[in-house]
Amino acid sequence: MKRKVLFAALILMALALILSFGCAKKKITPTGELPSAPPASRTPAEEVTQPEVKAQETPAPVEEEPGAELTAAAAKLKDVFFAFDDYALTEEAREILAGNGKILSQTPKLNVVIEGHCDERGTVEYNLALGEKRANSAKSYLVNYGISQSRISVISYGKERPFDPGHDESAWAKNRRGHFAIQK
Amino acid sequence: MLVIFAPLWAVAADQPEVRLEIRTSQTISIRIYMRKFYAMGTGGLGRQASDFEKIVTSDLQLSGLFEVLQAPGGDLDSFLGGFKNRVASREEVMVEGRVSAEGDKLVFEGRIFDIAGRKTILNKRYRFVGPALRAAAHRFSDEIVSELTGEKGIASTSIAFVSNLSGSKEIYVMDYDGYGEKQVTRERSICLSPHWSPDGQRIAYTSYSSGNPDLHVVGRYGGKPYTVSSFKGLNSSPAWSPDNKKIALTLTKDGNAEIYVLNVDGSGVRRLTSHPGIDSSPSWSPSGRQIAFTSDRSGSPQVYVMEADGSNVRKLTFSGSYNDSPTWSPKGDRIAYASRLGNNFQIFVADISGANPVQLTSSGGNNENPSWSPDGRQLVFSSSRGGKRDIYAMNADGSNVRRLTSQGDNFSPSWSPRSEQD
Repeated sequence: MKRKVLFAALILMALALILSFGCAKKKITPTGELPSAPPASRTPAEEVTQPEVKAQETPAPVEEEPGAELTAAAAKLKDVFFAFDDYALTEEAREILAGNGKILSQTPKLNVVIEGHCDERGTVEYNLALGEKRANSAKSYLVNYGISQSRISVISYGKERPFDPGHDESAWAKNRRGHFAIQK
Repeated sequence: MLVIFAPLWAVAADQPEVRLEIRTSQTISIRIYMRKFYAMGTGGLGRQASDFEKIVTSDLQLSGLFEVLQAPGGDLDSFLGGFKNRVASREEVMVEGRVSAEGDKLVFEGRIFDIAGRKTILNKRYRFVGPALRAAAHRFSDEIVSELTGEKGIASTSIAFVSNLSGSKEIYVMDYDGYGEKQVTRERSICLSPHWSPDGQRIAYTSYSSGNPDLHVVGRYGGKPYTVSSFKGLNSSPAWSPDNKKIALTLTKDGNAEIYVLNVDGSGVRRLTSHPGIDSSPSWSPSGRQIAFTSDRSGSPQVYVMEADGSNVRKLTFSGSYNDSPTWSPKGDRIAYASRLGNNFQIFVADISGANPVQLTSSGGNNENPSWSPDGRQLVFSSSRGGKRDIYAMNADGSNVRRLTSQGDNFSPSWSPRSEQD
């Protein structure tokens, strides 16, 4: 009973306040009953903000294209393939690399980048390292073959740029590769 | 126009602060009755009130700390009357709230009411623009968790991850519950392995935008990234140190994948490992004194632990042919990792000695890249169980798995620390 009296007093006080300002256009009508609360200064509102995400623009790069002769020679370079979680060169890979070494020695202006790639199994980070090991295996062979190491750079794409997007052994086998491209 | 708020659920100054004892997730002993949140005034804010209530209810349920029940609608006195002369088996509180308009902003007022004690134990008021409603609701949820358990909540945390939604692999950030996904980088290249700074303000990641996998850092709300390191070869798998000053990462600048530590400005590069095998994926212990990492020095990838200066390397995982992505729990007592089982990867968690490995996932597809919530009660990870990779979260015991992303290829999640403002 005492509570209800207190509550009514509160409402009256609030109304009096609103009227004293003389512009109570909005009538406050709570749609649910509130139990009595001791009168106290209202809790200050905390500002909740929503920060904006800023876009970052990168300028479009200008790329120089290699000449037709180099493109033709580079097109003859073959990719080498690897076993799962392995960067050792197979007998087949050595034969392919010997062929690539011949083309490179006949085309002294052709500088290449060997991209190391992996299949989708295993983590992003481990595969980045594995891809680089694969590319370096191929590079080491070519350097031993007699190609200047200044003509060969390596980069690993791990499992981020699969040649075959499939999820089976046939796709995986294609994706475990050292891919040859012209150095830009 | 002047809008006046009558004093509402203010806490009297002479009331003792009520703090219930700290609970663990195993003993859920606080019951929360959610009263229907309502709109005040004529602004037609019913949907906002209902959204606010849904978000808070979901947050409280996801916390794993409470039993959350819907309170019956209608008169409050009769609801509370039902608790008279009843001995509660657990602490029981009621949460209610209301939304009103104040100029072009919204105001939420909410409180926790202790049912047995018949008093308000928390009273909060937030003012915000419409799009910040989710953030305001998460703030209120965190206040409830903090008030009732003494532990900070995680409802205001975020998850960074990689997505190809824009056409190239970029860093994205979303709320911990999967809402509010935003693209943070626009490098139009390949961005990988995001990891938060401990202050929650920046994200380190690997970017191919220069043609080489360099280490970049970007603000959590985007903007122009800066390059921390661009050594020839890999600058990959960054892990920000707990003191915010250093980053551990994998570099191949010396010819082989080794773990290094450098300052956040790229200076002071120091090599920690020295082995012809692959060393990768460092994760700091919360004390900053140790680092877990992956190495294939035994012939296959396994998880190892070393001191932060590179000394005292010891093997943590012994079963399984492929264990990777170690991540140290925030309390420092456990390490989660991904382990290959048959043809699939599953998430495991073990003691830091490697003892007591427990398998947390058992789905088809690959479950990888676990990352702990800052309270250590949950893990976020990527899984291809649905046919493509998406981000999932689960309780740290493997229960309550839920998918957080749906569009595109999504992977490598990193759970943010609690934000500074909390």
